[in-house]
Amino acid sequence: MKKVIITVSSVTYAIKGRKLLSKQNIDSRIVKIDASQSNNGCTHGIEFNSSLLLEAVRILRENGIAYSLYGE
Amino acid sequence: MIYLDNAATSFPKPRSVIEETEICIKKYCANSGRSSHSLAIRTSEEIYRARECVSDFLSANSPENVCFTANATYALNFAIKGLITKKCHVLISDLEHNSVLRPIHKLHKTKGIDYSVFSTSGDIAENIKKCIKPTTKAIVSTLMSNVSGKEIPLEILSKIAKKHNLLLIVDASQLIGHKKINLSKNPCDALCAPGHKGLFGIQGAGFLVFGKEIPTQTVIEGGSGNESKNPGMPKNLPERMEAGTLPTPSIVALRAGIEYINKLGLHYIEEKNKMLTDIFHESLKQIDGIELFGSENGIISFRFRDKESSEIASELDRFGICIREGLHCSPLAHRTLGSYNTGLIRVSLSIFNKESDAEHLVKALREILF
Repeated sequence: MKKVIITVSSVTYAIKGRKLLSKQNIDSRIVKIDASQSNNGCTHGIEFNSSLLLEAVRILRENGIAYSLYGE
Repeated sequence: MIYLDNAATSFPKPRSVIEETEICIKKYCANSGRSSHSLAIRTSEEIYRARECVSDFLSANSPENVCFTANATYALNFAIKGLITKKCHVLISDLEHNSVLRPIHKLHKTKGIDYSVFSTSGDIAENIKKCIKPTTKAIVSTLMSNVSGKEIPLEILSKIAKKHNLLLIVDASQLIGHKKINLSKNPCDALCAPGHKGLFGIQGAGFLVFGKEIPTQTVIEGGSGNESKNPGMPKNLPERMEAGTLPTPSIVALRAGIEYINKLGLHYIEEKNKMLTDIFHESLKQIDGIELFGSENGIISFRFRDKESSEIASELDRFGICIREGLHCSPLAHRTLGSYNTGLIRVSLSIFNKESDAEHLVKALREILF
């Protein structure tokens, strides 16, 4: 199963995002994003099944969580 | 031992608070938001759980706006110095603790901020309105005096702040855990509180809940676990206000304390506090020579004509009775009450006190005095 990671601004928003996704039955886990992969330095992201990407970003957007795709 | 000093810190703590704190220290107390291992993630989840708990307790609907601090004094400093950044006029009440007065006074000395003190006697709303000037930008007020127990309703403060477009920073140190605070109905820009008084947590954690404004200034800068390449603190709450390692066991205890209160019900706590306050007041007023200064919300303060408060406090300790005497870090309140030169003896109750504690206190006082 292919995974995708969405980067958010902090661990607080990663946890908030994971809880919101979980309410919509999207399983995910919180990961630490390496400093080399981010303009601002260390942060956290949410990893989940890539087939659910559109649904997941919709949920995050509706709840005011700023995000970017890991690797962008 | 009879503990009557709950306004300083609540004691004892509920068993569930002790147990949850112990589990945290033994099982998962890593550093939130730093490392990538599962223990660190679990710690971060527990911190977030505490944010949700605080937010729900205050009907704030925004866990991300809950920022943890070492105590209410730090919270007030962060709120006052973070939100009041330009030269302006500020209003404070005549019952303020030094945790409000001192940062305001510092801003007065260093940034030229002007402040006025509004009276809490009579019609508080009218008293505040009379003090508002064209340059007034903020109200900073306690919600309950730690000396007299007098309440300043958040509803009144919130309405005035909204009508006159003023910032509102409130000190909920004494009121929280005693009566319901609803930030959806009565919003403010920052509410500050400790975990270790009415919320039955342990010392080491407090919090502030921000409204819509994010503080432009930070007071403490340091590691936040994110945006490390940025030499400034992160833009967003809560990490913007949380430099350094969080006091995780104290935050867990705070959350457990709120859950304990939710289980009992604030209504039950309010009723019991009122009942105990009335019993203590009625018992104490029978003593010859006593001068009572306030009996509200679990706080009863008094003095005696012919004996110093410090002497009485020391004698009460020999009877195993714990109270606090002096100015209670609130010289402004004592000026207002007329006890600035003598200080007062303060009894402050919790739901763990019993009716018989009043009898023991009165008996001890009679032995000391007569």
